Amino acid sequence: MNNITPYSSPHYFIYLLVLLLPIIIGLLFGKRFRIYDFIATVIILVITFFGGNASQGISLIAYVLFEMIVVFSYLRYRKKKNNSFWVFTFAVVMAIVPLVFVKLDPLIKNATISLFAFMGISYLTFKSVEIIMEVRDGTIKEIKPTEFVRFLLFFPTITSGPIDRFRRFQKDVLNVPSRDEYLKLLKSGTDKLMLGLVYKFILGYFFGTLLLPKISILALSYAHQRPLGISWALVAYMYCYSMYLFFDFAGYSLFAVAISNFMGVKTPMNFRRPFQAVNIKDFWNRWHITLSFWFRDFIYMRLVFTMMKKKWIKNRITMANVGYVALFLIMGFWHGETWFYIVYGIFHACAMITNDAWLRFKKKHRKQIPSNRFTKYLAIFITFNVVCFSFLIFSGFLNTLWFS
Amino acid sequence: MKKKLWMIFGPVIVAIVALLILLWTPIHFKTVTPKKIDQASTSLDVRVLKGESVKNAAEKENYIPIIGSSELSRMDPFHPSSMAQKYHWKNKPFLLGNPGTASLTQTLNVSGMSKLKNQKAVVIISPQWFTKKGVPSDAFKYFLSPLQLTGFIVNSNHGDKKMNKYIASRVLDLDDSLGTVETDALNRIAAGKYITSYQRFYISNLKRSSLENQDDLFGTISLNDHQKTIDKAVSKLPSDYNYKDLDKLAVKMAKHHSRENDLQIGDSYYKKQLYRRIHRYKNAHRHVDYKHSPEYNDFQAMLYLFNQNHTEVMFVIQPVNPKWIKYTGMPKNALSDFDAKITYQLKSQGFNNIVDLTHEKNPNYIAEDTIHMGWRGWLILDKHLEPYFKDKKADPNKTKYQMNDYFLTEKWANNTKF
Repeated sequence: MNNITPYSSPHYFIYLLVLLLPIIIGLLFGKRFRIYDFIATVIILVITFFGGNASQGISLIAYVLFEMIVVFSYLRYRKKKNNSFWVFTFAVVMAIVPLVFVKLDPLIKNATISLFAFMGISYLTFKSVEIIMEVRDGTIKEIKPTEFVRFLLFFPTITSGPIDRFRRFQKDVLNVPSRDEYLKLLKSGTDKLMLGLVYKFILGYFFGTLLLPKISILALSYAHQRPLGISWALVAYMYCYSMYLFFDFAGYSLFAVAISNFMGVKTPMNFRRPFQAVNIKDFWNRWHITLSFWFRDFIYMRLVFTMMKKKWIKNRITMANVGYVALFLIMGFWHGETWFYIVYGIFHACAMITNDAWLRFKKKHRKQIPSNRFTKYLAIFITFNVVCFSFLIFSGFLNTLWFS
Repeated sequence: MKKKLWMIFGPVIVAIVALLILLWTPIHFKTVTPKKIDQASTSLDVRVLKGESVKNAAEKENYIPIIGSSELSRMDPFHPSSMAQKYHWKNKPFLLGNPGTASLTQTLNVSGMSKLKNQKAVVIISPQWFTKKGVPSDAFKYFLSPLQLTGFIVNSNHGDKKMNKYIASRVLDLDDSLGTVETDALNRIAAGKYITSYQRFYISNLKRSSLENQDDLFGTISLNDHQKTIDKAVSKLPSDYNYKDLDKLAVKMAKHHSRENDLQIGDSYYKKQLYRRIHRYKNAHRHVDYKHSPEYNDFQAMLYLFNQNHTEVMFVIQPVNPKWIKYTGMPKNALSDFDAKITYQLKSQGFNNIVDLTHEKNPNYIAEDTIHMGWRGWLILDKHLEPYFKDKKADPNKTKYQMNDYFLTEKWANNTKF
């Protein structure tokens, strides 16, 4: 049997709901069956990773063991000694080494170094790094190996997030919700599951599977006829791909949150009407929220804080801008080592910098610049188009259009 | 609590039950009507090709399938669908083929047409299918119908064993993304074994029955509609059929529509597809070769199915625009060699009804653009189609084929001496 990608086929949902039934009944009667939870997790992981030649599953086990060594070595160190910057940096680097290898693999075409390749390695790495960072901060003082594994391998979110935080997660799993509270969770979970089905399998399917290939063929037919192959079909591709990207991923995220809810865990939402954002900063507070907050908390804030403390840069504006470039470049590299992901990162960094500059300008000239319903819609319109254009870069379609 | 739980899960449970009834019960919600069949016959919608319901309904009515590829979309006044409408042919063409459909896709398509038994069909062969690598995997995957595949698997314990083995292994070669059970079943068929009873149960009772219901429900909803194109084309035809007059009209129209180039290529096609890159095609086909191709084996699989169903078939060998041949520098013998090879494969097995347009004496405007027949090409074909379409029942004397499994072998695919 082959691996089943989570939430991609009716089979997966059937397995999932059957496995969830005892958990749901347990929670309704105020009980968490720890051992059953463990068994259900193992079964889901086997379905997801051990199909075919099981290479992904073996990678997953090796990866988790490796991360455990890194995290618990660092935890032991932190309990004894005080905070050395270099030990901390070393721990973070070690934690992301497997991910870096996997991401570099397509670039150097050396399959042996991506020892750890499995679906979802990015998201597990985000969680591990978060723990290391919080151990350094002292906000996480104690963590048991079983807790670490449970957090990392929480199956509803294992392949693509949302990225939960350890302490928040612990609060939910250690607690058994009251019946009223749990019934509310069941309701919100069911609603999200149904909405997710509409998003992913109706709207996402419509835009991605039915419409996109047709537009793609049309847009590619202009490849050698117009300068840079620019055509109306390309514009259509941009919007269609953006819709597909949103509905597919938001649908998936809704499933992940819904299943978490059924298990009595309030995994944070990943999307909050992103296309109603009034500016690009607002957009990143609404789009793939757990990822952008992770980048904000653990890369941007820390970098800016370090710059401030070490007085590398005096000017606050420059500091913020350097932070944006670093954040979005890293995000670009994280997506993959291709020119379009990196350009996508740079594009968003520029958008953020421009946006900040505009907000400063607006603040200074508050009296001259009107602010009303019309300007708000205009702002939403501009943001939407800027975002869609960035997704066109992200899609890699330009690469196909221009270079193949 | 019970009430609250019902408020939460009740609607979901009702929806699931409704879905199960729609997809798996033997209640068939037929949406196929005579009007739908008429629309489907010229729709060229992929769902028609991939489905079964509407095609099988059409077989009970006065339609004869024309199996082909991209040329079917060249709906000028002389297109068989236009002519059949204008001159009230006894039976009407049912078009099955899209850009990218080649023999293997059509083999599976034919295998799904259970009502084709003892009936007639037309197959338009394109020399361009017969390339060295054969049908591209992407194109095959795109047109592969899960419904027809389940049908093929379920029926694999009868029919010619060598043919079943061949089709199963070809499908596996070209599509590696099939379901697990399907892949296992095809592997067994390819190895010459029967499928297991579990595979039969799963594919026949779970997969196929659901796909059949889906085909019944959604197979004809908002199909592409070409009726207006046909009506417009028909309005340009004179009320009486006279071949010579029509031939003149075809030349006149073709001339009018290909003013902007001297290759007799329709202007709209030329502008869209060729204008900017025409120079690239200059002498680009100097080494073209249609003699070595796995397509010959795929084509043979289709012939086996016609034999199995006692289907009487008219084969049409599609011409290529002679000016295009010259422009692209295609070697003189490329087409005639292909012609000879495919004709040998057909005739030696008793498929004798061949309309060969490769060697027309007057090849002007025989194609609508480069490699797709149109204008005079259609008109010449129509002359053969009209009497053939008078009766849709196969003549039992013309379906006594003598199948030869040599044509399924790689040796034949690469043979140049025949």
